Amino acid sequence: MIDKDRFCEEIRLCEKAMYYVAFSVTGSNDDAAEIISEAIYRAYKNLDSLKNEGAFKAWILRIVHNTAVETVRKNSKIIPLEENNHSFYCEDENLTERLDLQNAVNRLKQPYRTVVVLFYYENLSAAEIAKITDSNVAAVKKQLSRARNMLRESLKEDFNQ
Amino acid sequence: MNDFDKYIKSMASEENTDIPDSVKNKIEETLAALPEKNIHIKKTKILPRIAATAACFIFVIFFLLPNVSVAYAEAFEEIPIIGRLIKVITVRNYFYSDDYHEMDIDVPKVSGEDGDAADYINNDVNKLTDTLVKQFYKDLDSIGDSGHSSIYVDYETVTNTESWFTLKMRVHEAAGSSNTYYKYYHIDKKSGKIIKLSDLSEDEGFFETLEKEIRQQMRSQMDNDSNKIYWLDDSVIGKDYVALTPEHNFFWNENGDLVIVFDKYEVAPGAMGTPEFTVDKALISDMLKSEYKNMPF
Repeated sequence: MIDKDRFCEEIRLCEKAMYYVAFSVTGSNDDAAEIISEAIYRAYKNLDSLKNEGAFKAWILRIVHNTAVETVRKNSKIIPLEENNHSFYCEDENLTERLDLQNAVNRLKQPYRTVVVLFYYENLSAAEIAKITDSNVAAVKKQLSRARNMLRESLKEDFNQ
Repeated sequence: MNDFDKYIKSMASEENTDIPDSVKNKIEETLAALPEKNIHIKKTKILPRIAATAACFIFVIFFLLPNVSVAYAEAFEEIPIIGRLIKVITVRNYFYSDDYHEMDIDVPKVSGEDGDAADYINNDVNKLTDTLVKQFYKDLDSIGDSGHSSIYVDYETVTNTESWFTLKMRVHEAAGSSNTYYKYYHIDKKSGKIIKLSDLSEDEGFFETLEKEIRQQMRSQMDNDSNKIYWLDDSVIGKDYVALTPEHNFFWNENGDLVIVFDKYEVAPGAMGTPEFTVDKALISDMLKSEYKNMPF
């Protein structure tokens, strides 16, 4: 089993991905920080449940995601994950506005935001994303497809250049 | 991968996506507060002033005077029940305090008739406190004035009857986030042995019964109070948080019920503190060994 120093090294290697996941669920830096902190404690406490050290990243991201969802549900701070499947953007979205990628992603609703950051920013596969978000591959692919279409629409000016 | 995906991934890699300093600092603070994995640490708040005063009183009355006055010691020994009960004293205190860091660690020593069991506890406590002190000074050097840290350790004699002794060690660490740990030591005075949770019963269903009752209490509390959260069905890592170990922390309350104690973050988010679940003695009485059916005694 990995020791504390090794655990800390692994966490630092994954900190950006952890932040992406936590922020994608909460939309708040403060909440993301608290969630990541809680997730680190939970992971460390249950480190013996990590059977494959090579899967550390997926393992810790899954804990972060679960902790974030749990926190959101408890505090009712943000929209639930069960979204209107045909509405990807918030109400104040101006589709004619030219967005950079980060803004475009942040304006996606859940679960598309989390799926997009894991796929495009972390280069994870649909299967890996499914494990992290406690979903299945088909659902993740469907979410990616819908999110891709929306991103294509909002970024088409850049993409066509 | 289609052209659009390549384009988006290219954009993502080019974006300045450094995480905020506030988040990065929180992560570092959390990592700094993690205990060493091989340490059984406990935690508590610093001894209240009144408790410290009481400890001084106990020290003078029950330890100092009997050792400096023959007459007092002889009189003392003639009080049978007190002669059996007073066996824990503070033998060392590690203290440090500056603007950024604080340590206050009380080291108890158990003495009395149960020599081997007392030695076991004393050795274990010494290992624990020595490790914590070394870690504190190590953190002190590495953190310096760039952050805060604190550690407080004290103890409590939970039970000290004719037949049973329980010492509770408590450790509280804080460096950004705080963490709390406990360790309970039990001596069966009749046998003179250290007792673990697994020593209370030979019934194969004992642990399952305890876990079932704890889960039921968790569900009931969550149903009645939306602010309460326990990790009951965590599918994320497939971990059964409630699973008890043979050495799991417990104590007997004044009614003879068995109280199962969890550390902070063990079965619930940190905000839930250190949960305790009381298992009615009637539920497990048939499973307990005969010598433990009528606790405390």
